[in-house]
Amino acid sequence: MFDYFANPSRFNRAVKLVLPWLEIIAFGFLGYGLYLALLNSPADYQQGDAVRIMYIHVPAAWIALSSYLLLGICAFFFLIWRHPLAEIAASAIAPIGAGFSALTLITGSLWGKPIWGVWWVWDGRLTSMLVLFFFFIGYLALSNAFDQSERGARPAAILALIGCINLPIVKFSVDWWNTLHQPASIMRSGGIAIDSSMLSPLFTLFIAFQLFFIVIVLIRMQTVLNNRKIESHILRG
Amino acid sequence: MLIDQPIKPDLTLANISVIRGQKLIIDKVCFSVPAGGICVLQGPNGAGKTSLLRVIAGFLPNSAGVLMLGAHLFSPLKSTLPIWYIGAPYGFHPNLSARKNLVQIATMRGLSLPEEDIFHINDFTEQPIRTLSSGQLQRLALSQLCLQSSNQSPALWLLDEPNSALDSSHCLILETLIEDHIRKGGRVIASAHQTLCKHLSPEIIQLEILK
Amino acid sequence: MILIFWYYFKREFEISISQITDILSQLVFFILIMMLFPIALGPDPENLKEFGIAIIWIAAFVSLTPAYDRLFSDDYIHGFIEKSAHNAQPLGCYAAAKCFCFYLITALPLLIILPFICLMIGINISFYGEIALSLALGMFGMTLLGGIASSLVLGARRAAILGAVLILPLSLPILIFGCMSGLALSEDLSMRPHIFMLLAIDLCLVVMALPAMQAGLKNAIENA
Repeated sequence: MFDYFANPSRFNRAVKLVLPWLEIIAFGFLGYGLYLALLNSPADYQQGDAVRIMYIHVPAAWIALSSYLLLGICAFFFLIWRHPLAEIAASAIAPIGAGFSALTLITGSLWGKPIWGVWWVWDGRLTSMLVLFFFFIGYLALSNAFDQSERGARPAAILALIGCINLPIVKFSVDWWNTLHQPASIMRSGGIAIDSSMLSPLFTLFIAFQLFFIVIVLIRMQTVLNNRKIESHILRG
Repeated sequence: MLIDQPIKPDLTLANISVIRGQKLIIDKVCFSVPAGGICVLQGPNGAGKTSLLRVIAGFLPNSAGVLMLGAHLFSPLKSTLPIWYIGAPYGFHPNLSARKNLVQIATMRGLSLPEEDIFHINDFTEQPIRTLSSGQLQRLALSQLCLQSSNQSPALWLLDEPNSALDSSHCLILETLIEDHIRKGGRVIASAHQTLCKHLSPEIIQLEILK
Repeated sequence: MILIFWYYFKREFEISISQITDILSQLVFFILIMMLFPIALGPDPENLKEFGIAIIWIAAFVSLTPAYDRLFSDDYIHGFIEKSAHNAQPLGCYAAAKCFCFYLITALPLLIILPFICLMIGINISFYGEIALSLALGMFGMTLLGGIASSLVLGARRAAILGAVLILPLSLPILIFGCMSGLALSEDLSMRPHIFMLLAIDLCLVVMALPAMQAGLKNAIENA
């Protein structure tokens, strides 16, 4: 299937067909999920309405993590199999992934203030998410650091692969560092007993975010392909 | 010493095109260099002579076309054919002396130093590289071609403007060196502003600046 | 291949000896950074002792990180990497020799002055052996990460800062386990699990770094 889409114009045609439907479904899920999260689900008896931030925070965290893995997979396809669209996909995914990890950090911070009384805490998970944010930043910095813009694609892909392999190690060591330095954890982020009335908005929003992510990435990929087409037309005169 | 030589394949460039930074710099170049053959690339500055040499050396990927050695695909970096690419920058570390650099290169390739110092590098052989003039640097770079091997097949020499900083006596020495190498069955592809080794009637490839 | 590794290593060593003031200024940089901590935190000896191991590790990291950019950039600019590409051995051999020599050049001086640093910070000098071991392992990992970063940023703008941005998130596990080992020491616990973790990280990095450096160098040659 991947070889089929290696041809950019075929890819463009397929995306043009699929994209409107994806957008509709994504917005549908988003709307329904937000309705469930903000209106229909119960407030937590301890945290009150502030728990509703979790519905944004947790799906965003999942998307951030999975998008980095996706970045690694695209990097692998680009380096080993030289798939032409893989590099474009990677460059499209990276800023979105960075955005979602930033969203996770911000919503986590906003959630933390009413619950724990502080804006930031060096929790294992938050610290890991911060490191993941810097992994994304590093990838973006490297891919844009060269005067010839396409020169940065291969080093960035190598970096993404190294980062993917290192990510479990970093996560493990940060968790361990956290448990060693903090005696009893006063915060149990997401440690609320998940009731089904809370699970459904969570999953709905997760699917909504995932679809939204796919839509944005596809739009970005189309944009890059169109830009390149325009440039090659200009060059040919 | 008569050795039964196997049939030596031709080095062929078939329709090599190179795009760099979204600009076409080399367009469908075709030529062939047999064993014992010499080819000279000519053209104005910016015509792509250095880039073409770097493609043959394996440093620059070509966007279209194939490099062939005989009937097989030629991968310069993986081939058993010994290759010498002599072009700026020459790969010498500026702090080490000329002799040390040469000895290091010789040991890394399993070669031995020549008995005769035809480029007269003994005059400055103990000086660090950063103190050498461009002519001395070029002579040192070319003296790498004199390193002797015991059993390697004759190498492919890729020379980027090898006589640009040489005085006339050393130019003659260079041409003699190239002639010797050709006679032993080596291949030489060189770029030059004026023709090199006219007496050997090399194949001349004209490169133009592409718009 | 071992022989070629040795030749590359000898070359690196000769180059480093010719630039010996660089090694010394690297050391001075380390001491200066370490000195910033008492200046910033106040001279209270209890304070320093508590943070002592962390101060040493941070100073080592911060002083080494800008230096990695120079690992391959000199040879890249002078065309030596291109030349080595035509040798029979893969570029990974060259990269490995380079990293190993760099490690010895940077780690050994640091370990030699470590006793004096311990005295200045107030760490119990009898712990020198253990601290030295953890630092040695940690810097080995850092050198490999530095090699990866250096090979990826060849030819980039602001290569030193970019290299630092790439290395530091990846090096957090080394920092964590290195400082944990110091903490374990001061609490009379065994350092061995942390040392083994550092060793494990180092081995993982060796396996990852050599192909990555080779790919990075090859990519740099193509785009020179």
